[in-house]
Amino acid sequence: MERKILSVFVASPSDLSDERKALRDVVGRLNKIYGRRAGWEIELLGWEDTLAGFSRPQSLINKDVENCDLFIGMIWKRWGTSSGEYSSGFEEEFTIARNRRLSGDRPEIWMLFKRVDEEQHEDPGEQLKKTLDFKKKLVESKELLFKEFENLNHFTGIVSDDLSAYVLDLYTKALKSVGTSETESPTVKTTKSERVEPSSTYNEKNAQLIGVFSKLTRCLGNGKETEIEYWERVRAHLSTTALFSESHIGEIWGSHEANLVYRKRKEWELTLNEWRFLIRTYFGHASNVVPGWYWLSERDITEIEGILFSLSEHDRNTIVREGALLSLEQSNTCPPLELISKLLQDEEQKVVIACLKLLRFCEDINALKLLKPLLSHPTEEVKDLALSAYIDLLYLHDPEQSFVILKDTSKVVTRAYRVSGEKRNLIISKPLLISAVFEAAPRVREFAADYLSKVGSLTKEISEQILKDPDSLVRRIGFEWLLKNGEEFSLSEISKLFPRPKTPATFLSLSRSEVTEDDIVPLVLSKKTKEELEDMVYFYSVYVDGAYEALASTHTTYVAERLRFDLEDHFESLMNKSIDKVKSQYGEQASIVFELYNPDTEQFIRDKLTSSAINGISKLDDKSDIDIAREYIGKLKYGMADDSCISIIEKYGDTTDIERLIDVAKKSYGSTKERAVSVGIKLSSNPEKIIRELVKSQDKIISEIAADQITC
Amino acid sequence: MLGREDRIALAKELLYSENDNIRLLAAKIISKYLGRNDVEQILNDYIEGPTYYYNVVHSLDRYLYAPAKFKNNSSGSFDKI
Repeated sequence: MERKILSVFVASPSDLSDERKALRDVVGRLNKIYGRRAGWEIELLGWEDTLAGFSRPQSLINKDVENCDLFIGMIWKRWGTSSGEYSSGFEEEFTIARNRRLSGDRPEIWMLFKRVDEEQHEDPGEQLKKTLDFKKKLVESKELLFKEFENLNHFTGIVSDDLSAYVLDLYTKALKSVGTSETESPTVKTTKSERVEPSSTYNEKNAQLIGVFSKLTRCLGNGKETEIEYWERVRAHLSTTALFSESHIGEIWGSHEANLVYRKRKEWELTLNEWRFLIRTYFGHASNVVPGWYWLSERDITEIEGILFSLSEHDRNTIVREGALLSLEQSNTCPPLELISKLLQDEEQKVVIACLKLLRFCEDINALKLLKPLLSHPTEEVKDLALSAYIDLLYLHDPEQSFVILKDTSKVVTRAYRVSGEKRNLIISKPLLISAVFEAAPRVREFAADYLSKVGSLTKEISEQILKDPDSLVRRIGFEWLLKNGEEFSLSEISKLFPRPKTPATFLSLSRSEVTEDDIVPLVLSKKTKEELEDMVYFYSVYVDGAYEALASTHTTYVAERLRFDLEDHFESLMNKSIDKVKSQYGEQASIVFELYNPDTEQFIRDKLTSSAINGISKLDDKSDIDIAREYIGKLKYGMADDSCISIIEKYGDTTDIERLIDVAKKSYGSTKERAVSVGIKLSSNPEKIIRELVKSQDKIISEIAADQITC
Repeated sequence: MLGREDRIALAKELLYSENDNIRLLAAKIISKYLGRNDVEQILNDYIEGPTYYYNVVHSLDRYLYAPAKFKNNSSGSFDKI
């Protein structure tokens, strides 16, 4: 990285020697912080005059003042002694700095006055009178800004903050002018000539481009446009578009042009303007069809981050600014607080939102102050993002306070809580969590109850209270705890606790988050004994499929033979027994029950039972079950046994099953489709051949799954 | 199932698949199984071919030239919690 030096001259009479030493320490500390990260180092001149027995001639000191970038003058009670032409060395140094400043833009001048007690103003004495006069003139002239400090600590705080801000400002300005060395800060001095910009080949680049434009001029001048070659036209297009963009509204290229130029990436030496334009084009495209990292391949991470910071703040094109922020987000990079502060006040809401998303990488508690005003933002999205960021950041520093805000104001569980909840390492007291179970918004109540349950802090009393919650997802947590701890519920109680919605789910409402008895009944059935379940398994029972599923999945080993028999028998025996049971129960009225079950309903129940039986036996590792898997795979109209059939075929199948599996893949979705294809390929004796065939499949998903198998 | 050479050969072919996702997968496989110079050579040859796909170029460019932290996505401070 290019090292840049900020020369700081410190001038003061002898009564501020402690402050001079403190300033040296501050500079040392800042150099450690920014030297490596930002490439800036502060060179402090004049401090050595503080050392006992060390003094230099004023002429040498003045040379330092002539060359410094920042002049820090400090005054307290002493004015000092005459240096010959001036009343004191300080005055001479200040005058040189001021005259330089008046004739140019350097050095920056900071004046710091140590506070003098009011009583001393009444009888100041000669030395103090001079310093008070100096200060008065400074105030009247309004030429310079100055600060007052109380004591050494106060002084250290001021210079530390101000120098730090100054270096960061220089750093940001340098980034802003990235690629434009002519606009680089005049205070920059390079200690090494390492390449940062392509400036070392500036002339050559211009020469290359001049060659193109010379030919264009020639050809256009003599009417021989056809002699302008294709790539010369492309280069001219790049150069002129880059120039136009820079002075217009920050246009960027489309993907076609950007890819075209990319083909010449190793032949063309770009001008800085072209380079900037291509970088902006790259970050301005979120479509993943524009290449651009090559243009940054010789930059280190700090430089790239700096470019992204700069683009996010200064680019005229909002798309580029957003893209820069997105890249920072994707690389888990949080910009400096100063930049965040500016971005959060940006007039483009998209930029504010992108910045808020970045704040999840921020750990600096000072960012809370920046977020606070956004908590009352008129736009819901901004307000919600700001609140989430605020809660999460506060959690790192004051978890309890953060949770109080989550509980009182948030509708959603924020990321910090989701992550900590998952890891079960939430730093929140139990009483506070319990209060959230009853006082927060539904999703926060659910989170708090679930967390208490996971860490074993839920009690019977709380669980019973939770059962009264208006939200079914919250109720479910209390219900599950009670069930797990031996509480018994009748199926009619469950119907009351978790009723089905009064309005049937429509296509649009399928994703609604509600827990109904359909979700809860299996939990209750899974707690029942084999005998209890066997009693419930008759065809005309409302719970036949649930009870049979519980029997097959919970008592698999004990009912294995029954499951195989039922499958072989296609549930005819169960059907006949069920008919007899209904007849004996209802007598002549039984026909009313039978009429309720049309052939489709019967098929539905049979398929559900078949699925449960196959799902059960698939856990048994019995090779003979391959025949069942082959018989039923892809055959059930209403059941879901394909996954279990595939599992059995995977274990005991052979190449004759491949076609069967691919057929199933074509008709299925999601993980079943994926498993069918991958097992089909796995069973093949020539996987490469089948992968080649399948990637050409008309079914896009099958072709992608097949391609994915290349790495297996 | 497939040997390294077969994987690479197949992946090179699939850089021309009509399916976007398969092309990206192929680019990923090439990046995983080949050294940097070989990948760069594949990219150079690819963009000089009669037809090629921009998302492949984007993907290989990112693999070859982006710093590691810009290649990956993850989640933030709270992973440390």
